[in-house]
Amino acid sequence: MAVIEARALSKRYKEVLAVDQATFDVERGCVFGFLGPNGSGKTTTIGMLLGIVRPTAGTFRLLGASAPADLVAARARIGATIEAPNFYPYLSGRDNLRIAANIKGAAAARIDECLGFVGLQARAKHRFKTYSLGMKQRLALAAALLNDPELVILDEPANGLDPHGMKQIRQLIRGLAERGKTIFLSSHLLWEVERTCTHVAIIRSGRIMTTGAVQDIVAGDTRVEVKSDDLEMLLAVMAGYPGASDVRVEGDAVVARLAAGDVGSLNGHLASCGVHPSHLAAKERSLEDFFMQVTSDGAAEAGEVS
Amino acid sequence: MKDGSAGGRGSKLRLAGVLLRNETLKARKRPAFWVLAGIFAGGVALVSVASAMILAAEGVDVVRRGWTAVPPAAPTLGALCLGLAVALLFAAEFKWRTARQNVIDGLSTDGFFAGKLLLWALLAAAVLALAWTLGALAMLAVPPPGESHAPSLADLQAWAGFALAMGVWGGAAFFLAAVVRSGGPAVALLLGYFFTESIAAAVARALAVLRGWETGAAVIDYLPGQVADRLGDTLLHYGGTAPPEVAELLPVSPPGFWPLAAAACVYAGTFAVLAYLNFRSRDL
Repeated sequence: MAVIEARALSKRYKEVLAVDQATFDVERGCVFGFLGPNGSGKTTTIGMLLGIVRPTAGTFRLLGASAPADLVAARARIGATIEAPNFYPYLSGRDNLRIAANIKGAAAARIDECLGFVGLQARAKHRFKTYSLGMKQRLALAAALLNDPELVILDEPANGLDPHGMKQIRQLIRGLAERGKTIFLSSHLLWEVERTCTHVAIIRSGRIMTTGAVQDIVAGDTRVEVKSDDLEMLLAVMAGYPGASDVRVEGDAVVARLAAGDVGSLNGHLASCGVHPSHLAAKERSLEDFFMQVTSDGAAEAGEVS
Repeated sequence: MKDGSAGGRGSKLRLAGVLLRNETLKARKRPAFWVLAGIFAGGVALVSVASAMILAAEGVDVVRRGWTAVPPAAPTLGALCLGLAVALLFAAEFKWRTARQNVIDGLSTDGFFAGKLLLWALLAAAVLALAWTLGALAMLAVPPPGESHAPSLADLQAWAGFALAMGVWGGAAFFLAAVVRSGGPAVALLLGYFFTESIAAAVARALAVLRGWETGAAVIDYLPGQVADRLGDTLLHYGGTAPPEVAELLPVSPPGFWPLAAAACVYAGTFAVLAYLNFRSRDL
């Protein structure tokens, strides 16, 4: 069952179409990465789901709820933070969590539990404005967990963090995933997402370009680099190979995209055509490769890239 | 307003409890709240003690005059401090983006707005309670030559006038905070209007006397600041005459309590409704 179902969700700010008919599903139990360049519409989309931005068009269901009154009740069952951690700077970490706990109807004991989970108990009495960015992000995560939510929505949780802080956040998110929480994570830190998420959607200029399982995306394509003494002949033979696409010369090599597991067949094809490569290297497609392919200026329109 | 969080009386009571706990926590831990409380308390205490001593020296029954009466300077200072507190506490929710976080955490947008209305009411109640306490304590500081008496109708009217004056200035601050969404500019606009209207009213009254411009003078009497000012004026409630230098700045034939009270209610209500409409029309 999908915990988030967005259908043709759009948001227009005067002349700017910030989100253009976004449609995607987030299944229960997955860690869903919502990827896109800065200004692509990630935060606006999340804002619509969280009730702080009114959609111009489209519908969505959150934990099965779609009516405005039901959505307010549904939001009480999720934990979320959007953009920078939003807290009262003059209040302590504990007091800030107390305010969130009152709204969520969470027991006071949960405050200490969540502070412990993110490792902030020692600084709980200090004012929020004295926290480092990493501590602020962790406090936001603690606030999101107060009501033991079914769904956790985190907008750029590792933004601005040093590698140590990123690792801490990644470990916390993995800990949540192991507890069976559904996590919706927006980010432009691709290697973070690839390490953490099971599914992704990629948004560019307000449009969802693709959505699917990370495993399928990464395994769906292989980039191969081949070198030979006769580069022209190599290029012609590779261009004639049915399983290759995007064949081109890069330096002293010919590069191409192959379907996964097709490298052996390519090697056989080259040999049968009398080409004996001096170098043949296959590289699995990373999420970053795919992201760059989808979000580059010349990328195909939505749905054409898979 | 609808509360979208859940239906039923139980959920509304729970919501009221949540708002009460959160708004009091946020206010009592905010340094600006205590600075304003200190300014108000210090100002009122100073004027009250001085006034009580003068009255005592003149042989006036200070206890009777004191513990039931609105302390001198309290309405003006109270309405101003309340306005500043409302503007600072409400507008900061937008600057720090805690308004949106409150909604993300599960408050409906109407619920959040209701919390701010509650804050306005709580602050007004706190100002009234503090003013009464300070006034009574100031009277105790002077040896009482008379006995205590029950509050008179004029006393009750004076306290109601004080509350209504806070309704006008609190409402203006509430509206500005909702529209401007930033504490500093909201406070600047509030104070700017406060002083501009005061000067404009004094000039207009002088012109009205000189040129017999009675209709214009009557309109000025119903400007928000003038309504609040008159409702906090002891002359309106207890009678008496102002010193000549002050009388020149007062309305020639001032409106009575009830028209002013009605105008104050209209202003407070209009400010609140306009703030709500603006709040609902914008994203958080």
